[in-house]
Amino acid sequence: MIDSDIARRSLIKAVRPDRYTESQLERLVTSHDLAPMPKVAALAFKMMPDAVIHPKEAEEVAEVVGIANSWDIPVTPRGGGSWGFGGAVPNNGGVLLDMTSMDAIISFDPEKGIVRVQPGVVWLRLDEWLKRRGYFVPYYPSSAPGATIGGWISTGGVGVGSYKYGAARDNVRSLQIVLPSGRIIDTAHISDSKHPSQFDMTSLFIGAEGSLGIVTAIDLQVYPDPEAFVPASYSFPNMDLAYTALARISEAKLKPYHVAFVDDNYFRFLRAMGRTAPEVGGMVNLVFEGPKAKVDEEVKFFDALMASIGGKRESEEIAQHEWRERSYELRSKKLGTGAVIGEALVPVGQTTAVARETAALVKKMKMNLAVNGYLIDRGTVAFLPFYITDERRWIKSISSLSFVKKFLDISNAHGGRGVGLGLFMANNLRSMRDINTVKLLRKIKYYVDPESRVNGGKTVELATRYGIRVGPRLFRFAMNMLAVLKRLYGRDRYDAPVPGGFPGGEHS
Amino acid sequence: MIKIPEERELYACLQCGYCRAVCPIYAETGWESNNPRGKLFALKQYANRGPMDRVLRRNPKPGEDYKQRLYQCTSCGACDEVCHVNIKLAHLWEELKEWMLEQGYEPLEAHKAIREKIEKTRNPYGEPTEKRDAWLTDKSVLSANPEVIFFAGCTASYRVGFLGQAVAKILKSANVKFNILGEDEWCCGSPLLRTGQTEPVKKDLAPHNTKAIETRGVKAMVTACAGCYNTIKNDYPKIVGKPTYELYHLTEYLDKLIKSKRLVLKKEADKKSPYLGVKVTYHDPCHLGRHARVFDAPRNVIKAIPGIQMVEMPYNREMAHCCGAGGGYKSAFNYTAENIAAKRVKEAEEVGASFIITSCPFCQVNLNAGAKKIGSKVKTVDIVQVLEQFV
Repeated sequence: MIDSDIARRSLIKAVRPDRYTESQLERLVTSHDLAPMPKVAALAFKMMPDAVIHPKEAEEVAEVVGIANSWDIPVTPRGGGSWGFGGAVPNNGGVLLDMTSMDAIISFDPEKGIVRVQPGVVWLRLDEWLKRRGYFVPYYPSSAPGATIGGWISTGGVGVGSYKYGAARDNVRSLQIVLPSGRIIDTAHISDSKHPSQFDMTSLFIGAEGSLGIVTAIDLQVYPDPEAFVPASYSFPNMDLAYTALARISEAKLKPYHVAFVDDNYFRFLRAMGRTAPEVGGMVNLVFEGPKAKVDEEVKFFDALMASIGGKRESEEIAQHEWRERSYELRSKKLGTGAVIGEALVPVGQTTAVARETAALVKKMKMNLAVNGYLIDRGTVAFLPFYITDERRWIKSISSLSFVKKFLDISNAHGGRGVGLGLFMANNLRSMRDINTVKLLRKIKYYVDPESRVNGGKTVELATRYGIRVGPRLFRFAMNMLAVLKRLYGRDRYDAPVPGGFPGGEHS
Repeated sequence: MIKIPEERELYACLQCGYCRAVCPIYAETGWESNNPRGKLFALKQYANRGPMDRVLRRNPKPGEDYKQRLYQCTSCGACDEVCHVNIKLAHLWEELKEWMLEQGYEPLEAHKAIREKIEKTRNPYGEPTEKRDAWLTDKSVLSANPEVIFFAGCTASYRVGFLGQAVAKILKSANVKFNILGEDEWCCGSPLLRTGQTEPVKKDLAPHNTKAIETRGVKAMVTACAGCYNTIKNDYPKIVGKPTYELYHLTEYLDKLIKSKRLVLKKEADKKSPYLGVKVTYHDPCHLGRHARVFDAPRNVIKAIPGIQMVEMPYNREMAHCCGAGGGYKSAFNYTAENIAAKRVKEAEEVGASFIITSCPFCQVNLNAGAKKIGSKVKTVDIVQVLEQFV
């Protein structure tokens, strides 16, 4: 509850009565993201907000932030809530700004190819809107059917199409931000969009996970719809060859639009659910787009390259299916009722080593793991392992969470880095960046938000509901203990048998 | 712990929010608790209620507000189409409404009134049973030895009789021997099933209608109402078993008649027809499309009309946007239902259509109400209203 009646009345006045609620139901359903956090976590973090607000305009956001400052109320912005690191989850109650209510496509300049949107617009909706006008947005998260533009940008924004078109920071021309002070700023001058001649602060806010301010409008670079768009799938007898294929693709003179992969366990999970899935050692899915002649040339080139590594081009039906399934990589969650995803950016040359050490970790922790991922640039693979767990067995489920930390340690040791910090992985910052950089990042946060009120206690620090900051050592210790606990438990099993079992025969 | 139907589905939900982005009610209200993901998350908390909740000083349990959220649903099934883990959500919402009533909650007033009328008069409008076939003024078209029974449905019987008359005219022109159930036709039960009030359907309506059809010994039954069709096709088999007759939606039947050349449409375009010389579009009723998977037949019938200029709206077939009328939503939340309809009408305007053709009387009524609300000139008509001008 918001303690002060004056604060409550001010907040309601800032929006409208029908866009403010303290209903328990609404607070409950906005107290989470994709991560299946156990209830016990609420002892450390007050994940239920005290009020939920639906702003419509930047000015309303600014007013809410101003009131929150006056009354010392924490503010958490929430987009689609489809990330898994707690970036949009309150850690100490307060006001939750549900940014999905700001979902207008404000303007479109076809000449510049720039569309201005509010942060709550869903990626897939924007793409559909643009396609009707002969344009498309070629970069987006794999969760595009549900993820919002503001949310993805705040997480750093690498995903589908980043290989050719870059990440969010390569395509965001300017951001409108409500700072923790309540002031509204634009990070760049839009007329300078492509060749900024002025101080451009856009990059500072991309990937800041809402810790430096609240995104209220975005100018995005979009592109004319391509003449040809061709997905092609290549199967490999084992993942070593598939990872070799990724390395060779990244060195090639030509560049596909998107390069993704899934391992054999990914298909095993699907088969266990009764779905039809190819019985292959691994699959590399390429997508080409552009002028038809160029696409034809690329397809021919990569057909030959994949064949030289032992890749077999699968049917068009499979390729189309794999492309359609790009947003449905966690279908197998139904197998065990819970799924947890790790995500790390790994140097291409280290992919095999990271995969092998991750497999060894999985064996030690008596888990089953599938891996998918994609290339984000010529040097980097986004490596996304996920495991299926059973939320109903909460001790086992919680102890399994330690896998994510252990996996990130492996990727860090190979020059990789985790993708998200948010609430749950905030302490991983120290193992990804040197101490001077971490100190500077914290200084920037405290400069713009001295009381750490807007999405505070996350990203650059980890604070509990009692204001107590948890350091990396305690975090590491807790994770190590959970990992030991997990090993004491029996092997992961599912309600449905997994045809063919898992490598090593560990599982039913 | 509360025993909740389909508990496993609760845990399967990934909370990805794909359903959030397609939910017509959420698009109107914006509250997370209004979208499928939010409702499932809350339900999981209710199912998991335990000692830790007491420690956290919270008491998650379903209440009147949760019941309202369950009823704020048009049963459109768009959430089913996009679900990451293939949860049968539309079915789940209906089960949960029933479950809430079992817990002692009352149905919404509008839905309670519908039940009372159906129990009393066998139709949701409270009209006299003996006037069930009053819509058919010329009974001479009926055959004593029919090949098909036309199940008119309550709305065509009591509110939009011209639809039934159009069907009769079309079937007659194709020399189809048909009959109707008359007083023996009771409400199919759709308004009750969609609002969690299943008992009268299981006990009376489904067994009665099935017996009425089967005792006539016909091989086929056809209905022009998307709601009746979905109910008889998808719900009746679970209540009364496999039917002894073939069930068709009228558009499927007409598609067959046109393809077999039993129904011949005028080659010379009727210049007076308002449907020629303009663009028309087709709106997939949720109960006919997503629920019963009939997408092609109505399009085939429209395209068979000589000279018709059919355009698709961007959101069509499996991803068609809901009109806002279904699932008992319009009867309880008319204001928002019309807002949803108005959005669909705007989509038709964007593709330059003058007419929306549909095959559900509820869609027709609500889309016209939505158009009126925004001052749109787009008119929604039933497919049989168009077709009757060409036979």
